[in-house]
Amino acid sequence: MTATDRLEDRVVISGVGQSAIGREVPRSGFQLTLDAVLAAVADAGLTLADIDGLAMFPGGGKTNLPGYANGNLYEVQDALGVTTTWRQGQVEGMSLPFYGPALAVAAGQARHAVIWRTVKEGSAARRAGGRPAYGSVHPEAEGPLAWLLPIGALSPVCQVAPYATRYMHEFGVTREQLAWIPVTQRAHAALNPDAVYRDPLSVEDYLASRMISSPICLFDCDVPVDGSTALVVSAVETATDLRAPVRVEAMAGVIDGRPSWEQWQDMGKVGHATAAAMWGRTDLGPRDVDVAQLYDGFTIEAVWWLEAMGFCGIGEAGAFVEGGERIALGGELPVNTWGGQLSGGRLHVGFGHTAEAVRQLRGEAGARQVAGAEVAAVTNVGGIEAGAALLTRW
Amino acid sequence: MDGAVGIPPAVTEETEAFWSAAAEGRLVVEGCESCGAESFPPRGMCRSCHGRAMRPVEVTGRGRVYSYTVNYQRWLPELEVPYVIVLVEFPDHPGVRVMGRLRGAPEDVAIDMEVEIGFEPGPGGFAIPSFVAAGEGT
Repeated sequence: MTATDRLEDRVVISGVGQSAIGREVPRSGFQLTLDAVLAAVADAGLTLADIDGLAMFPGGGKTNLPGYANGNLYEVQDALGVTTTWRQGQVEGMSLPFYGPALAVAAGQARHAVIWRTVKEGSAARRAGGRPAYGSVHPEAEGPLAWLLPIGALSPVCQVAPYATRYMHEFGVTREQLAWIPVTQRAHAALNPDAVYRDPLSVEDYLASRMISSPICLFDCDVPVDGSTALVVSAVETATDLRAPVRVEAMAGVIDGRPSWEQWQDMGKVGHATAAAMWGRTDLGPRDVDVAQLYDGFTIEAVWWLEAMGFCGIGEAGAFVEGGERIALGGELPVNTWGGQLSGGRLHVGFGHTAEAVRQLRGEAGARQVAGAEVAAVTNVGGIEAGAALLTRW
Repeated sequence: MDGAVGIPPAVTEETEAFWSAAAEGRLVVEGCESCGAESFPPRGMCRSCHGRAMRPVEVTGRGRVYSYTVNYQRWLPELEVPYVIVLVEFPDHPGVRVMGRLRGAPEDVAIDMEVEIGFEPGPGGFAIPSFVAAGEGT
């Protein structure tokens, strides 16, 4: 038994794998899932016979967006022909993609657990003639959606937008400042052959783009895509069997407000308790971070994570990102080096962000590699749910 | 503005009182029989003292806009855009925040503006919260 007192020390992220990613990939979600899982297992240096834990987001149950949920864990297990000692399908509680698998592995319930997230939202949006309304797959709005959809808050865009309005009002942050997040991430995406949007984007392009739900414009929204990402989490004692493991230095996911799109008192602070809990589990600090993969379902979520994580002060993110130098490759804190969800595609709930963090720490990020990256931050969601982690080089 | 295009709510044991009152043009939240705290949305349990005896309480008087968005995207066919969505709080009713529409010109909405409670026809024949700038009449 080599386990230590910290659960993070008992696990590593051993593999990342992705299917083809694009606005439309003409394969089923199930085939994309298998592509990603097989790639991740091979990337870890393992074979399917080593895998004893399987997890997916979301589970095979109800969904609210066309193309959001794909497949069923049991069908994937059947296709893989493996024996599992731990399984999980979930929506609520996905603070970080590797959180659940890490708990299972740290507790000895699995040695090598795979978790995947498959989206077909690109194809679904094309079929719908545009990004579909949230909940449009059901005739009635149930649960928390009953307070949102009937009054016309028909998308997460209009649900998060009032908090963006409030944040910009309170701190005097401007669209001209925030533009630098999508603009800089687009420049990063140009260096990522798997990103869906790679053509240059200027601040002028951003300001001229159509408004979706003020102050959120088209280029503030992530891009619905088809694609699958899989991660393998392994027990630390198997490290010598692994090709290129990455350490989990610290992770946390705290909800300290009312977990609702309209009742959270100030969504601009949604990640603060999570980040504080995460920093409480490590001796490292914000200045030790070499590269940050900050969840960007919308530009404003990355803004709030910059502040929550202490990379800048509260209300200072606009000034921090203005001009783009700090958050660009070569800057003091390169952010979303794969293009993020704004240009790389909405791979969702931190899977794309985690995959990039692992690649950066391994030195496998190609033209967008941050030289000598030893500490990567990963944050997830930032509206109701929240998760933050530091990953470090082996 | 026409809020009738859209997705209606599923009505539950907890929310029936709200939607019934809305149909009568009244904004109803939950009040606790034990400690008097008010809460929304209704959960059948007091968020302050965890009492289970809750009764409908009508919110009257002016609200204040915590924040807003102007939605321009046509999420559904036939959806009339643009329209204003507001988060409204009530100085006399701490703990209550209601999301709704704001009638009137989108350019007139502002944080901290005072609004009167109102409703308009929404999807499925339900009445949805639809506030009006205070002092403008309905």
